Amino acid sequence: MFDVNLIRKQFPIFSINSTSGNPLIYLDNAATTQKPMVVLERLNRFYGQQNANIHRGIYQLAYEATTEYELARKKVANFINAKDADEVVFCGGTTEALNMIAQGWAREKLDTEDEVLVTAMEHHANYVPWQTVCKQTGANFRVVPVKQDGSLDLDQLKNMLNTKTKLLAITHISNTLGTINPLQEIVELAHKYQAMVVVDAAQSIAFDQVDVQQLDCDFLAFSGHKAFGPMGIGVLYGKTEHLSTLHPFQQGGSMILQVTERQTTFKPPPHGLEAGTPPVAEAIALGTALDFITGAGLGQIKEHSQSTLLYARDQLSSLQGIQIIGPATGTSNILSFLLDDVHPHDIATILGEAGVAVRAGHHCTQPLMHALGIHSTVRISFSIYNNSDEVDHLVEALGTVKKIMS
Amino acid sequence: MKDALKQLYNKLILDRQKNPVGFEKRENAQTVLDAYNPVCGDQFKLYLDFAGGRITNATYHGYGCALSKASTSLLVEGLAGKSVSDCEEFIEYYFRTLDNDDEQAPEIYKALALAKKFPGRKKCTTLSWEAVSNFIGTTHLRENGE
Repeated sequence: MFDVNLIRKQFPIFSINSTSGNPLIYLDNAATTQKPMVVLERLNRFYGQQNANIHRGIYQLAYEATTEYELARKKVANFINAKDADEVVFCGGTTEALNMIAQGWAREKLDTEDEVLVTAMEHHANYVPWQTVCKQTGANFRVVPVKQDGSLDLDQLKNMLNTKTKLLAITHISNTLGTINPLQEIVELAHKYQAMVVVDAAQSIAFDQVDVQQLDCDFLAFSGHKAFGPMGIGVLYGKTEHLSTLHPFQQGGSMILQVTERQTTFKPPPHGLEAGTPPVAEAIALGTALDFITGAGLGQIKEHSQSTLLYARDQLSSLQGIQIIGPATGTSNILSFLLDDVHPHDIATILGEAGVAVRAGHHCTQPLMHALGIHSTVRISFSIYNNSDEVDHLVEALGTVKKIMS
Repeated sequence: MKDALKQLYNKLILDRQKNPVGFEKRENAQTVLDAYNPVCGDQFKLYLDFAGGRITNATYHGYGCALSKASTSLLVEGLAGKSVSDCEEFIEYYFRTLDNDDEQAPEIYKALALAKKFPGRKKCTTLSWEAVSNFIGTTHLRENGE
């Protein structure tokens, strides 16, 4: 039987009070999730008992650190159902992973005849690197529009895909609106034109099943910190045949086979793409975070986050002056709204004083804001530890916003 | 902190953001400045005209929160009619008030000074003021304005 209070007890941050003296009501999970004690303990245990650099030292401690790091890679591979652990490259996060593909793959493959498609709902991290690489190579950068309800315009996508399309970069779930894109259908469409599909799974990794084999995507990226893991660790997944053509974006220690004055040869992926000392403790703790998700049940996390969101949507709708932005396709854990003509930052400040942490602004999706004809929104996003009492508190605090700002 | 919230969003600020003085788009103004905060997306255009070493007209238009809108309104209202050096003094005084909680300062300045107690909000009260301050610091304006 799922008990949200038992889950909350596993997160030390909920045992402290916010600056306002109220218990923390954390509704900013799309920005980063809180960390369960097991993850914090795992970091502590690595640094306290297992700390050594990996793939180098010929001594027991270094061997253990390496083994744990590679075990974490296997855990990630299992979690996303990769065919092989070697398809999992550790990096700093989603942004770094996407830049690795843009500069390590696209920059060498694209030419002036080619087209790259992104969607208007992308986070800047899955937009700007493609815009940049298109400028560098002369390829045509094209943006698939979003409908006013926040869903992707699939008809337009179908029209825009053609034999010149070399790559489609698309988010699984919109970080601003919570729109869930029908990825499987989209990947199939793109593959008809031999276009590579790069998936930003930052928002979906701790919400819904991400099965790379089922999706058949070519590359996929996510961050550990949005999945109860530490900041500074992320994952680039790529099909073996694609990773092997990915030029190492960063070069240096650990990733080489041989260096001579004339030339350098690199290790095969994934190690050939992990230059320098990686965030070892963070990678291992990410493995623990994924174990936490599996233990809690990804389905349970999804169901609980969805039901909390639906409750929030109902309660918010009862407030006069609320405008829910979207409503997006499917129900995720993310919802954006506006209240009367009050600026989202003013709302967030007043909510913050009531101990409610929300995000306000453009959410690093300025093209989406532009497409929807708005400047910013208030965004709430739920995870497994949120509950309906917190939603009630949010709604009450929004009442205060109305009182103060009217 | 609850009191600080009430003081921050007080009647003076809210009235001014609802009925802002100088909120007028003037695309043919002599100088058009951008005041933009990439963190929140607040963006104003500041329209300035000069004659005889003075700012003869100052207005603004754009999108922003209550604090940035009210503070920008105060700015353009204060700039109109001032010489370049008076503008510098006016802006300096405002910045000092925000930092030092000057008891003698006008009530609305004191209210805006509270913004620094709230995470990430101080910039809202200085955004447009910094844009004008940077602009006034240019030689170009000194040559033409003084």
